Amino acid sequence: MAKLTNPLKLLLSKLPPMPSPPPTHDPRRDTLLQLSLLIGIAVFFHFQIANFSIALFALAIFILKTFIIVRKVSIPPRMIMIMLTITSLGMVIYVYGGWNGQRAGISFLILLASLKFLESYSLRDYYIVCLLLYFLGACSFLFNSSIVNIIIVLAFTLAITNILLQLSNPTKVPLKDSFKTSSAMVTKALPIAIILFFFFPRIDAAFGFLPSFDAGNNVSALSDRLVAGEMAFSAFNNELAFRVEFKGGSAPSRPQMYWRAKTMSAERNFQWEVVEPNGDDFNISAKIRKSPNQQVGKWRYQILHEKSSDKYLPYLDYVSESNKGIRMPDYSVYKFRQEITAFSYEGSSTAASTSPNNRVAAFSAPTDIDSLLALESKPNAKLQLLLQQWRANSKSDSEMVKLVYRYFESKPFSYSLIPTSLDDNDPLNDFLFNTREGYCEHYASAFTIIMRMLGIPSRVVVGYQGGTPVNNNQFIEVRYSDAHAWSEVWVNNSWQRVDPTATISPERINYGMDALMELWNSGLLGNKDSGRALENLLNPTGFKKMFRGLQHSWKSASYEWNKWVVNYDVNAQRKLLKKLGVEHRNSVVVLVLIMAIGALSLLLLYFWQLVPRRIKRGEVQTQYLRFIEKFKRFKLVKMTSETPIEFAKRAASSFPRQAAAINEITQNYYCLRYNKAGDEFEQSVNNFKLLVKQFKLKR
Amino acid sequence: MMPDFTIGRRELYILPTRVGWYYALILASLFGIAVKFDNQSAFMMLFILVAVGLIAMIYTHNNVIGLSMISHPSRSVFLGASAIFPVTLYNTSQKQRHAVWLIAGGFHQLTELNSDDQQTVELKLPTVQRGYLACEPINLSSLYPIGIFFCWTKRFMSTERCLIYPQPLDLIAFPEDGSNQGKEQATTNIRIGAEDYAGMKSYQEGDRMRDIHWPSLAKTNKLVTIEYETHNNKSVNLSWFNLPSSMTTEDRLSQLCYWIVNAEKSDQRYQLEMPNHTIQFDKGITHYTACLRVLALWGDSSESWRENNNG
Repeated sequence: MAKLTNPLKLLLSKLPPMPSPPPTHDPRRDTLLQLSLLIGIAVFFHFQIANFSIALFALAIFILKTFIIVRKVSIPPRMIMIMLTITSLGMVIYVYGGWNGQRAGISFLILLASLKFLESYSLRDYYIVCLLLYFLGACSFLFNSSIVNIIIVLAFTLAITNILLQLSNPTKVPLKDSFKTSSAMVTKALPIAIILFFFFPRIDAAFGFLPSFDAGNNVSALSDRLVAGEMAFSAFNNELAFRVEFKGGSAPSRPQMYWRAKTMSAERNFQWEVVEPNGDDFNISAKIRKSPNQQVGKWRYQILHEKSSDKYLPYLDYVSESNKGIRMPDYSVYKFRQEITAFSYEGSSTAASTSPNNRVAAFSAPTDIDSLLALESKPNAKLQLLLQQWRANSKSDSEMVKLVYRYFESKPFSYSLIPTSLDDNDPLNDFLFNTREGYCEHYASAFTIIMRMLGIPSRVVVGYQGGTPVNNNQFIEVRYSDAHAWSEVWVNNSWQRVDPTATISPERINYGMDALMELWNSGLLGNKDSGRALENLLNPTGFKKMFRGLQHSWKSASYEWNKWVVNYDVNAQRKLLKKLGVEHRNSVVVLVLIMAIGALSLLLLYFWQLVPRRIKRGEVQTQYLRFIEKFKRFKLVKMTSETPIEFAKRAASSFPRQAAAINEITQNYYCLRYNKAGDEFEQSVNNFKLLVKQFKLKR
Repeated sequence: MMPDFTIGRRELYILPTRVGWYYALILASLFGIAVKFDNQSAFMMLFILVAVGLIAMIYTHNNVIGLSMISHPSRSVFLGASAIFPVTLYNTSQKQRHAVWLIAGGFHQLTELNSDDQQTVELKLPTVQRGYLACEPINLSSLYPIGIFFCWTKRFMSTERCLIYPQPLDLIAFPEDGSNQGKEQATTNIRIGAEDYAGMKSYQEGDRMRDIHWPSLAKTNKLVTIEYETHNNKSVNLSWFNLPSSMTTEDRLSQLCYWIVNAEKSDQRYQLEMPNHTIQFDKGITHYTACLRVLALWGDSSESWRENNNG
């Protein structure tokens, strides 16, 4: 019973006594200076991530400690340390208004690391500083997951490992040697890490708790309001929004590439707003989900979206399938949960909103016509006259749409990235008859308002247009500068896209925002020479071409990184398993199984190595062992230290009657075992065998 | 050359150190962060650190495995000095071994071995009583490379032992009664500690404090004692029975030890007279060690000093 009470003790009692740990030594100064350099780098990177004042504070502590190391001064007294700690805690709370959030966390961590470094004097303290630095390096990924960052962090990890290596060795190791060892360690660790990364089971992120989003963390997103003149600012925001890879080789041409994010159907005096989906919309979207039409759209693609707080996911018009978010009847895709990291999703789309392949098409009819005709802007006399003309000159709604489109084409409207501001009281009429200069949202907005005045249900769509193909159309980059607004009208029982910008600035639609920006910068926008400038831009020569090639390969590498690492999730893991031939509904079970089998086989391998090897014995030896075995019955055992002759002597004295036989066998054994094998070896072995067989012990 | 002790897989144990547990804690919290923020790069970093930990474990293991040890006989010392047990470590592999600690009785010695290298390490143990001092069990341990794993071996029981002579102490003046008038030294009248100044010599264990020449210590920072004239080719009888009965056994042995050391130094012939045992007049290293051995093992019935008194 007593044995059962404490199985752990029983287990531990098997371990031999552990010797005392080696005596600690003082860390060497050059090691500490290296460590100090690393802290300095960490603090420097902190300037980029979080608050300036906290980074400054950490920098001051770092400089103080470096001074202490260089000058061999003793560390500050305990009282000052406590005060510094309290000050730093206060600073974090004051700057971030509390504990929560990633930025507060990482600021706290950097202060902790530098304060710990400041008060360190023993070996173990410095060890802990190193471990904190490992952690800090890993946490930097919460803010930046780019390929550049992982290279920096890897180098950082290598340097920390190198310092740990120096700390744990009391004798001085040349820096070159220690770097050799630590880089060998990290290099050997990488393949293991990569295997673990791909096969460690991921859980669907949609569980339990919501991560806390930093309030001050402005993640880019398209605005939910369309205000004339505001969207133009995004033209200068070159930040990446998402990347698209088309599957199966078919992709729409650039002028056809309209990425819908959200539709805006509420007009407030030349401004447009998103109407949050209501219960009815969700009911319809549930029907869309259950619709029996299982055909996929013409274009299939995967989107790798960067971090964004937007509730609407951009899909190519017109979305038919989606694996993330809820398809709404207005072809937009809505999601409740905000993403805090980059994410990826897949979808398929059809070219026309009415395509029979499109699952949304059957449900896209407006439920509330009135809300699609409601207006706040009022036409002035001039516009009213025009409206009357258009009504009179057209027989159908579609003809009316064409007339209005042609109006924008014929009048001297111009495209501008910095349009003149409009009269606040009557912006619509000011734009139509006075300034006649605007960005896409001016045209989309004005066009939609006119449509509604003419009694055609219509809305503004906001999203992205175009994108930059990279590396021979391997994927397409869409940036915030590609943001675009266009109009959509309900004609002939279907939604039709009308983009008035296409007539004002065909370059924008045909060549994309990049080309437009280039023209804008060289002042050629709308100029006669713009054609040639575009030609130069699209087909660069010489050095420029090489530069673009380099740029594209870098973009491609970073795309692969994002695709395989940053956006690696449950779905990607499932797909990888499928590629490897393992298909199971529950990928976690499979992965746990794989891991268990892997660990078990490693364990077995280890223990198999521990099993003592059986010594291979020849025929002669086997026979001799059999001979010895015969003595065991009489309690005469050959000692390992005995030679066969010694044993024979002992055996002969115990069994004098069989002394001759014992000696003969021993003699024969010596001859066969140690003499050179002659021609009659086989014969002699058989002879020996017979001798042993016939040998019988008797007292 | 057969090594006494070779470290195979079965002789090896490995556990995380305290820093290693901290490392595990860091990994656990990193896992929490990676899951909470669903950050794949943090996962990547986590797995890199996990793998670095695993690799470190293998490095620690490989740093010690395959080493073999041979212990060498230990030289006798006087009580109070450290007993030294030389141990040779052999590295027959092509790998370098870094920061390997040899531990005996809680005392550590650091070694580094190149590939195909051997190093002799002197393990020091304190001496607290005369007689045989057996070597403590010897362990090998290592924290290499990054100190998150501690690897140690089974105990190597070295059979070597060190003979500890009594501490030489000069407690009383050399007795000058008639008992010293042996057959061969009737004319001699040696006086250890007499006032005939003979010169200076460097300090030697057992020299009397009052013989130390203190002014030279201040000048040269070395202990120097004043030597008094002794007469060569003379014989002394160092007898247990000449010592005052008030002295304890240990004191008597220490005193006799001092006289033996002194007599051997001054190249005299001497005889050690103990109850039931006498070592006849002689000089030289063999005689010297035989006498000291008798003193070291005096009263130890398990040691057969009587049979070995010649060697």
